[in-house]
Amino acid sequence: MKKIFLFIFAILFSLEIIAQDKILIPMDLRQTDHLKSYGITFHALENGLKADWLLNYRGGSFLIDYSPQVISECRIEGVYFQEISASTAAEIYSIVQSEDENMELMRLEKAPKIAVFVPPGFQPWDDAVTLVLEYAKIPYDKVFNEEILRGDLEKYDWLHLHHEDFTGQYGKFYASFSNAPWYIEQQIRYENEAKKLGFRKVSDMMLAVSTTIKNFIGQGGFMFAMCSATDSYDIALAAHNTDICEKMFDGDAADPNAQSKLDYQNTLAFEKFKLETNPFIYEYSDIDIQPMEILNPENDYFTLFDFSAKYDPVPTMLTQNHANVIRGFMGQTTMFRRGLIKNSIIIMGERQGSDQIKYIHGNFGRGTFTFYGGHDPEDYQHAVGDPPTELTIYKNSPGYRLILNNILFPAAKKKKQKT
Amino acid sequence: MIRIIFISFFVNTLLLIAQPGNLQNKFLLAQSYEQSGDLNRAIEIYEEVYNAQPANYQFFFALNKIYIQNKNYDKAIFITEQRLQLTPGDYNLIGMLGVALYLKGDEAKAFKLWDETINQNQDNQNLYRTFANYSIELRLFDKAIEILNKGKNRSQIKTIYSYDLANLYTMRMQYGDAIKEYLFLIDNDPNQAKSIESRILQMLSRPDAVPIVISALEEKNSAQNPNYAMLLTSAYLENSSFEKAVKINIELDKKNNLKGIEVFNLAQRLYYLRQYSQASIAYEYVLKNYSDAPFIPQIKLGFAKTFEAALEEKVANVLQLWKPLRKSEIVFASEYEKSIIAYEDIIKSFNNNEAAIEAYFRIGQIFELRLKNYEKAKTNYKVIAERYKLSSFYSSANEALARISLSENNFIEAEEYLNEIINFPRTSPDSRNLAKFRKAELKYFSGKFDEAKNILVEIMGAFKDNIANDAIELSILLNTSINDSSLLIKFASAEYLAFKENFTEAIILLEEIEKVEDAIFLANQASITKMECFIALSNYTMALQIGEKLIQQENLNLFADKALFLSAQIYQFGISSDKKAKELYEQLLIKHPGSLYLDKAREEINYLRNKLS
Repeated sequence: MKKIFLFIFAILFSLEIIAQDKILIPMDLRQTDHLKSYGITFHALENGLKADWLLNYRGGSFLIDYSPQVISECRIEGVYFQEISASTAAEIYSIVQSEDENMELMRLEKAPKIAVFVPPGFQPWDDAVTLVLEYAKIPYDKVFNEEILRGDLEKYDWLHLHHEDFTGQYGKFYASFSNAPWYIEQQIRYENEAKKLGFRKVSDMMLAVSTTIKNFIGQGGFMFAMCSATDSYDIALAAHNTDICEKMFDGDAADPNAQSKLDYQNTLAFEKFKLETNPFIYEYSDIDIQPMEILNPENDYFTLFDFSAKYDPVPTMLTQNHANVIRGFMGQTTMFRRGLIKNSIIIMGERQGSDQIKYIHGNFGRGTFTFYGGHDPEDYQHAVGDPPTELTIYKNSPGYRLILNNILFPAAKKKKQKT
Repeated sequence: MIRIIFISFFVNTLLLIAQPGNLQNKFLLAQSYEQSGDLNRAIEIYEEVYNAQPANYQFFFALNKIYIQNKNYDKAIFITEQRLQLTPGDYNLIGMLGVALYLKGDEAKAFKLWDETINQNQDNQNLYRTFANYSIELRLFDKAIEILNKGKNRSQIKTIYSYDLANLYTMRMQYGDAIKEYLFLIDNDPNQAKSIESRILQMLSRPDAVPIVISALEEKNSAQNPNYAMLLTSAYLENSSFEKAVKINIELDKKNNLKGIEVFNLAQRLYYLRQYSQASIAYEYVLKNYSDAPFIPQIKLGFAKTFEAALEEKVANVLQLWKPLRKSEIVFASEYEKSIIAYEDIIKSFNNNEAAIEAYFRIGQIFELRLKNYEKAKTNYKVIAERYKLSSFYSSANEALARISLSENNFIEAEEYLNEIINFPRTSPDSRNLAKFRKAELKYFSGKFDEAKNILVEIMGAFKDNIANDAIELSILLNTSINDSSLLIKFASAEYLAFKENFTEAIILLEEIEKVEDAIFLANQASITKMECFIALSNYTMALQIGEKLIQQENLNLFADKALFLSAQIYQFGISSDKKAKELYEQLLIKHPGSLYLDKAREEINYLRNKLS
């Protein structure tokens, strides 16, 4: 009798779990605030709730365990949601997992710990990632060279690099800003830090930082870079055997044979590139697409690739969006030249019919990295000194969504690849 | 490609020209190779010409430079040492040798070389500067500072190194040391004060430098020295220490008999920084102490404006601006009287010009809105309406006169004033639309609904105008309720009473409307207006009771969301129960996801969340 009672209780208990309602956060055009939806999901994970990412279902929707707290947060943040019954949730699961649909269910396990590489002191530009993290209320820590070199990266799952110059050439702003107080101050700060950390030159310190970041990726970390952090990072790695910095950057001349000494084996994404050695030219190499190549800015749009959700879940996650043609945007590094991207790299966004690549992803060791060209997805030409973008005006920005896909991606439970 | 062809052509031409023994042509050839980036070929030729004429400084210099560029530091050291044997006392060569040694990685040897040279020639002022410059070239700022400090300590004229030192300290963000050097320079060479002041002012643009500069200047007892006081004022302004800025300027003025000029300049700066209370203190000081100053009219105008602006800030804190309807209160009356006196003084000083007209208008506003003395307000407004038709205050004065007439039940006079604005050809479109809306309101209050509707149609076409929304709202009320005109007249009368701040009588009429069962829209409108009237009377218990009733009707009542929002506001600002307020705002989000009040509710929730946590 006791066993029968326990059995009935167990059935009732399991039914209770199954019958529990869910919160669906649709990410299609019905969504009122796409960017804050990621924050809601992130906080749900932080609070120990289960969340599923429904890849390609209504723009990559989220299905979260029912919780009055989540509902209240959605309302306060103005995020559109639907309370759905267990049977509706089951229906959605079956659609998403059906072999006939290019959809997949990705269980999100834990909120990733996020670090953003931010130099101390005043910066006359803004970082799209910190802007969107602040807007979506996703917590993050700031780290810089010292923290990275002392091994702090092991505390984090995800690292973001933005408008950084890993080559030690201070963004190659010399021609335009060498007399600007912020530029002078920045150079001094970097030099002081290099000295403090035991490096003779800033470029040596930045190489050590780049190598540490590479090791972080190799050991299973996720790195997301935008704008000049993309190409300058790879250039710094390639130049580990030589000196590419001119006198105004490090006090001595660049190696005249630097180009021939580049080691493309050491880079993550790019190869065969040619350095721009002229310190007065605001460009590192030929990786970046020049404004003249874009021609009419009015026609600057890039297209996201459509991946198989069941066979390629990672790039599918990274390209979840409610729009697949997205307005382009410039940066110190705007887009990458197709011919200089390694074959092993997955291209996720490109300007169709051209060799201009916007968004790429790759693996290194046990970790992954994503490079996204351009500075601010909602400010076509963000100039030095421009005010930060007001994201309350761009709650549904598809360009910013790509950044947030990268933030939630490390939360996904690793699945065995289908063969 | 064109560049390569050009360089080849140039090089070939030079080769043809170059004859054995013609070193100068070879030298030019080497320079061409260097410019084209063929450093190895350039080095070969430079070595050839250098070996032919080791004493030629031009050849030596070019060869040394290219060695450094090509990172051939040993060779650079060798030829520099060789040349030093020819001219042992050449400090430039010693500097260059130090650079090559440092770049090679032999930092200790380089510094030893420079230090020994300096110690052997302690009185040579140029030497310190030369080696400091080589250090700066290598971005060795600490070394440069060390060398210049040595020079300063050993020199009879201490100031010659201070400027460079201060600049280096600023660059290194060592603001304490920098300000010491700059002040040392001002103390010892007052002729340089102006240029140094500009450097210090630049330094103040860095927030972390401001407190350091302030503390250094405070130590100097700056009130004694006009240069320091000026700098300290700027530092105080950067640091938002406005009171201190005023204090030091007044002190400076008293001690140095500056005739109020600096205090007046500061007052103007403070006015633009919207620091009205401190600006008015500064103006008042000049007015009291320098009544015969040539700039006294400007001071009078500035003083009157800042004094009133400061009062308005104080009033905003006292009046409960969150209330949709408010009972006017006379606050700070004696201070406003002072403000009026200041404006009257301006009228006397600036008779017939725009400043005087503005003074009339400001006096009118104070009497009307702050002192509730309509007669005096009208007298001042009428001066503008009758004498200054071309003034920018003409429309505003007429509108204010119409407003007063309306509150005095003189509808005919009110309409006449509004017609003045509407019919005057120079009236701006915005002012004309506002006057038309006021006229429509007037017609509505007097029960002439068709006339009101016709006027509103004219304004609603101007969608860009701010007044269009108000016009639409009134138009909806008129169109929905015009069938029961007797009830609408009652509602209009109630609104008119509320306009006249007679909230108690308005409530009586609104309650009568609420009782009419078949006029749902107007009854609901009456309830929400009644709630607003009770809020105006600070009778929050009654207001909340009405609100609760409206909230319970949820979607059946058009004003349920507004009632919920107003209830939350009562709890937040009237009763100071933040928790309950937050709860009600959250309810608003849940129950009325399409409400106009959502954004404001979200903003308040976030504010209260932070406050409560």
